[in-house]
Amino acid sequence: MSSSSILPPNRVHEIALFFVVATLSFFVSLSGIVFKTTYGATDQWISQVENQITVRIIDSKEDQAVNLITDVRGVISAKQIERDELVTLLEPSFQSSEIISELPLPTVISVLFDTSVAGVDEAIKNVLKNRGYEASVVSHAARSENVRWGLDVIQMTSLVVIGLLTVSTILIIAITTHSTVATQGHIVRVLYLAGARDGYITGAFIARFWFTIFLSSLFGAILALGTAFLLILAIGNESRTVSWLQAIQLGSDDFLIPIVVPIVASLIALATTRSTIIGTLKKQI
Amino acid sequence: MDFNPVTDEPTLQLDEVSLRYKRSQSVLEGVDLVLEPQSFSILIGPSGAGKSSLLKLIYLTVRPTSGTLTLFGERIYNQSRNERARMRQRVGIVPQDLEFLDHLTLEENAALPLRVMGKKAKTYRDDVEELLVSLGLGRNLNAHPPELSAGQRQRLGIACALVSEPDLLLADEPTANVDPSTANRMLDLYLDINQRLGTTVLFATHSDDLYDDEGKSIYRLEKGKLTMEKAG
Repeated sequence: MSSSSILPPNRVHEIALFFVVATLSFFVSLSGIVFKTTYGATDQWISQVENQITVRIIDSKEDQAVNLITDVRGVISAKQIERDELVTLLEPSFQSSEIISELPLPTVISVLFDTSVAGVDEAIKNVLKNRGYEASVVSHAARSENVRWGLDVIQMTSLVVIGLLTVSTILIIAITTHSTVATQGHIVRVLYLAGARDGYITGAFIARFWFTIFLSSLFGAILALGTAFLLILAIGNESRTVSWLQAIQLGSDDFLIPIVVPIVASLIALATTRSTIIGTLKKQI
Repeated sequence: MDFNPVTDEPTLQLDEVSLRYKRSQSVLEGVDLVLEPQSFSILIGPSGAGKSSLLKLIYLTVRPTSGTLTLFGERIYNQSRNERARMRQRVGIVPQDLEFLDHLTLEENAALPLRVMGKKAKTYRDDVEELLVSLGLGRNLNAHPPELSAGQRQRLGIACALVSEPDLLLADEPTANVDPSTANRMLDLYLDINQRLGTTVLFATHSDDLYDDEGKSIYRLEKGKLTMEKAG
């Protein structure tokens, strides 16, 4: 006498369940990783630029300008950006350093300042103006505030999207598990009449669904991690000159996703299966 | 197989048992019933009289609305689902609508009650085979339920009910969909089980005209009320 499984094999249904759960787990995991890495990179970029001011000197007394700016209260450092650095910065826009080398480039001074001191940009502007410099002073703080605001909006939107995807995944796992168990109500009755305890019956179903959903969710999450890795690799190769994009990279906690997502998915399957079986036992028998 | 030693206490005792499902009329009213060990009782009643409900009540799948039910000397009152599952393992039931696990063989289906108890296949394999052979299913051990005739399905149902060597066997309308001669053979099969194994049998049927043998108690259930027609 062989010991066949108590539950009948249902290849078509199991493949469908595997595909659906793997796909949803893929989307949840990928959107989570993409959101986390891009948010982290943008946040890092904002932190880097929000205490910077760029000063463009129109006339030619630039050597004095750097000294004047350095003496302004709240300025940590002021450094003239060399021509080579400017060419490197402009290269992505012109696609060629040769064109840029023929252009007259302005004198640009990069200033780092203490963000706790208010009005540093205005003070620099006044000092330069009083000493007869024609200059434009651009604080990055204003721009980074706009980016920060945009980032907050993206964060909320992403969280809503991830939340909706997660809820959809939970519901689909719950509905699929419920419908599968419900269609196998006669198995519950047969086992019950055979004298099986509730725990034995729920255990048989849980073992089947828990494992299938865990495997499919694990598959989807690992695929998402792999896809994210390839995307980041592709972005890194194409963005050697864009520091913001270079900051996009996988963190050690991203590797927790293939563990957390399948566990959560299988716990949902476990709870749904258990409640459905208990409900079937209480209603039908 | 030989099981079920004789004891003094009744296998089953119902005292003034009533049953009413939610939002429905009373199904059973003040039922008194005593099944002595190794007795054979026939429960006659038309469809809808409450026979299946009475058997479900004895099988502990529903609780009486009032009255007391004593099974194997233990009063059934407020036992947990697991406790009732444990007691049900001493009761075999052949339901009217027989259901099996179609992906399992006859042998595996018959062994299901032992399997759910956690017993290992090697400890019961020979006993199950012997039981199936004794019920005339020896040639079909590796067949699957959909391949069986109605009579063979009944026999498999009996095998499933008997395999755990129950003290009480409940049969719900085993003759409902068979011709009179098959019905008589079915009754003979249950009588044989009763005499050979000493299992207490309660045999429910809607048919009046089959059973006039001596040695059997006959009860009639109509509109939820049980009366004894003949003592065994």
